[in-house]
Amino acid sequence: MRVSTTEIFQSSLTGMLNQQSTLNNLSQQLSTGNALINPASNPVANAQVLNLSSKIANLGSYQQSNQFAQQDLQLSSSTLQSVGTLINQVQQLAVQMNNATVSSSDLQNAETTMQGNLQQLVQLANTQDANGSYIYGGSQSGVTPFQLQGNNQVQYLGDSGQKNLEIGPGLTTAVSQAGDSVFMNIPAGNGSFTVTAANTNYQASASGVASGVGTTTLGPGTVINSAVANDQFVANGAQYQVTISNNGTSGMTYSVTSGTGTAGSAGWSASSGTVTSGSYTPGQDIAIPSTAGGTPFISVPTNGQPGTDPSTATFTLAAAQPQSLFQTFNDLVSALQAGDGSPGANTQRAQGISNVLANLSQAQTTLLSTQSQIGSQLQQAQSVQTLNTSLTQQFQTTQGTIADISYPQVITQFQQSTTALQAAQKAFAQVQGLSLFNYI
Amino acid sequence: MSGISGIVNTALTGLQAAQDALQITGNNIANVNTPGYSQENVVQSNAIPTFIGGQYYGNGTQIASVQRSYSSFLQGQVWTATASASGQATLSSSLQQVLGVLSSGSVSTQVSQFFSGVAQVAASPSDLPARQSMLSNAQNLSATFQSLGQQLASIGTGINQQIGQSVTQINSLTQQIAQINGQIASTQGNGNSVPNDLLDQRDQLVTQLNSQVGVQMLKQSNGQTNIYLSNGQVLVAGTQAFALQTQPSAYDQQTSDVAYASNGADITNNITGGTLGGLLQFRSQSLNPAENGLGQLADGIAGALNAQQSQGLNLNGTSGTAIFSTGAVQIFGNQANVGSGSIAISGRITNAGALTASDYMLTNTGGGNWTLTDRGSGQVVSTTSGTISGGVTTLNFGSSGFSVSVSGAVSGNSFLVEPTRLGASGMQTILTNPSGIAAASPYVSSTGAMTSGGLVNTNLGNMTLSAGGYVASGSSGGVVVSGLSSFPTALQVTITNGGSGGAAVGYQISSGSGGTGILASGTAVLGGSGSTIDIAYPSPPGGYWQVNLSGSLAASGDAFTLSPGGAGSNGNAQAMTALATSHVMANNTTTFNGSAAQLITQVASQAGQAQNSAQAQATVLQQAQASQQSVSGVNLDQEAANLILYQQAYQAAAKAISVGNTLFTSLIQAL
Repeated sequence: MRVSTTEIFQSSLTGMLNQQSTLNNLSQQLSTGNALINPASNPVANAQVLNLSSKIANLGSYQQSNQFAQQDLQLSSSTLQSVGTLINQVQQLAVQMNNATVSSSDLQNAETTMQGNLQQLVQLANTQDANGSYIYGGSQSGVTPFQLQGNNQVQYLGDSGQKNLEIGPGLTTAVSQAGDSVFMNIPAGNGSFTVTAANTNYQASASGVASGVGTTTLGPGTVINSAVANDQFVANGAQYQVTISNNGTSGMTYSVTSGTGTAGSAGWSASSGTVTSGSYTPGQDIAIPSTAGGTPFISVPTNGQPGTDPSTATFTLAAAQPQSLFQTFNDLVSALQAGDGSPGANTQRAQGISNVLANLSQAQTTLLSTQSQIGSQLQQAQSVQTLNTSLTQQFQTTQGTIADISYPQVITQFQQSTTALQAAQKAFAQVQGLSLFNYI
Repeated sequence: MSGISGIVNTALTGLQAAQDALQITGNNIANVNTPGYSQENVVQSNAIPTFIGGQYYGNGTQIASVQRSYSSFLQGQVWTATASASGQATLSSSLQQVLGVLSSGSVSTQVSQFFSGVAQVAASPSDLPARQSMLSNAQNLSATFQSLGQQLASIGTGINQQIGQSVTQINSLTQQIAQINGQIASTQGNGNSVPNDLLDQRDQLVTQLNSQVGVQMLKQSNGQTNIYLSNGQVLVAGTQAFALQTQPSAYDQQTSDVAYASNGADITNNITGGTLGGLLQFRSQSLNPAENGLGQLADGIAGALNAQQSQGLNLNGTSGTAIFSTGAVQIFGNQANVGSGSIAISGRITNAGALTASDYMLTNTGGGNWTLTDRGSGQVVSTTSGTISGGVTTLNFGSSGFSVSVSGAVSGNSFLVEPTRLGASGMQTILTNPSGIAAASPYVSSTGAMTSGGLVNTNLGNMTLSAGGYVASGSSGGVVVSGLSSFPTALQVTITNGGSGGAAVGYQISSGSGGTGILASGTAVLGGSGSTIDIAYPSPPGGYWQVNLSGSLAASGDAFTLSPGGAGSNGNAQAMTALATSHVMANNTTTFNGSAAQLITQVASQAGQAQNSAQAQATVLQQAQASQQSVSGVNLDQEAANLILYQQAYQAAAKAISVGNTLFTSLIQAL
């Protein structure tokens, strides 16, 4: 083909410019290590890189939440461990004091210790995290949740709100425990019903003597048929009164009457009559049916016997209301103070401590289940963290495969282009030297 | 003629022909670098011979014509290729600008960072530094959107300027072509000679014109050419050039359209190829969709977060207010609209998740009916008569995510609706107080009743009140609590009769404790899925806070408290965090980051395509030029050879004259 002189210049120039542009592109790739400097060169790969980036960013966000979650859970776990230790101490103290031989100074010391324990418990329950938020206040993290009143009662100003965090795609875990579920809503007694001794059990009449006061204690009892127990105690609001009488020479008897009352109200009417009765042997279990002659649904163990004055001991069995750990501590204080110096003091204390021990064991159960829950949540958080870390690495590797250049390949291309450019330049110079005018 | 004078005269014609040929060769050499110049050749023929004595004696040579080496087919290919290559190159370089803006702005990084801040608030809802950092991230996010939106808009302004420049150049070129047409026509009739240089100049002007806009040429019998746009609209007819002008679009006054200068007839949609075609294609197919896509993302993020914000409580215990604001729905009326009185029209985004990147034409078709058409595809999206109240017609295009309120419009009026165009450039973070972040759930469910400020739980049964969540519409059979004097008001749920197993227990919901201010009551079947309670939000945002009361054992008097979420509640912040990975964009099909990636990928693909196509067209153009040059270009070696050829011819002719001269001299001396 005939070639015009301008065309020779033009095509050589275009060739060199193209090679230069390729070289520039390759050298940019070499200096950044990124194959996608211009997203237009490979839109699909660029989209993949963007998607991977946002996935990595999301995982980063989950990891961040995960760390917060682990911090929160660990703080709660260690706090609850201290609470557990405290409960153990109180349990030991209660067992020590449940003894007829303790002196009144022992009792006083124990009482002082318990006051300290109560304050320590309030302090633990009011634990704050690094940001000054109360970790057991539910959603009311800015308010001191547990307020110790003058009468040793503790008021809960928080709520049942629980903090959840998303630590993985679609994986939400609770990272806090509301204070009321840990410290307040502990089932009392055996979890189904509580035993309350009448104060008169341990009080001799004006003319009575200390030796005349009996030693009867009751409870905490077991549930034989929980469905019936629920029906009776909760749904119907039924209560049972156990009366153990010392009839002198004609022996000892017990009788149980049932009645209904409005839940939460102190008064109740034992109008439904006697459901069971019989002769009483100290230490025996009294099995109680819901109606006379029916199958027993609960059973309460007894201990001791009434004295001569008073000659009867009365106990009320009622549905177990949730009882706070503070109240249990306080109950122990009351039990230690109970009837100090009065004739039935030991018995009264024994009944009180028996109830407290039952409640403490309920508290331990609640605490342990909370702790095991925290433990499993921690474990979950940790394994999700490991998973997310490896997933992040995997995404980063994939991203690298797509976006990073292969150095050998690019260097080879670079050298090829350099050679081609040099050749084009040399060819240009030589072709330009070729002219017929040189020879005429 | 014969004899000695014949020798001289014949040689003289050769001498002249060689001289002329040398001049042409010189002209070729001189024009070796003139764009559009076609190599010229002399066409020599022998002169008419003389018949003497029964013999024909040649009379030398003559120059029949000066021809340019030209192929109209190859020149036509150059023109077509020029128009395509120039159009694609413009498109490609403009797209690179948009791509540069979008990929350097890194919307996705900002979105991820913002949500990482939200996650921190979710982790420490009462921590003010975390809240402050979330707001700073929000400001960065909105500033990024704003800056990207404005950069895209300024590219649009630049496009208007470039269109203007291109039109000016087109006018100048068509004017020159018309002039040359005139000159060519006036040379008609000068024998069979052709004004080669004028033709070359005109061809070169047409090449230049093609680089501005794709045109077609039609030769006329008088040597003039008419120039048309690719769809047949005339730019040059003989000696008359029809000037173009830029004028504000009929709808958007900020957009330049192309029209005839004489009558203002809009020909924007008829222009293809060349710089102008590339610019117009870029604006309608790449820039506007990119602006809309960015706006759609901004609107989507703002819509979803503002909605979530309104469902929760801030640190002051009141409902959250909007975090972001975005640019308004942009509506332009046609300049020709004449309504009854003044036309007032405005738009509002009703569902950011349903928005698309489309622009719409809204037309009053008469009889109170309105038709919404997708501007890009031309498809009818919706036909509605709307609802009229107080003279204002409200047209709700829920499936497109926006509504329009209009008054004073009559049949035939049409409007351009751009729901998302300003979304990004107008995006702002309007929440400035970190306490204003609504991290808390409106209600926290607690077991027990509020007694003198404290939570007291004396419940005997095992009923629980679920933590609850937001629902847009209440469940059937749910107990609805509505008409609260303020939201959220603390509520108490109290069981009114005990029960176990499968029994149904009643409950009442009151605003005060102890059965005062009863708002609603219901029954829950024990052991089942429980009873749903829907507490109505005020509107906006509307919807309900839904909790569930369930369990298998209940005692009369068991109570539950629904109290406003406190500083430590992170329910709503958690829901905000979840938005990062929820499919809330484009009718719940993609995430924010997915949408951002889609936007960039769309632009990157277009840019990639344009780049490839520009390269391909450039190669086509190069080949066309090479082919055309192989015919019309000047080759200096060839000219050098010609120089020698004609020089020798000249020398030989001169020698012949010299021989004639010698003959004469010999003859005269012999006398």
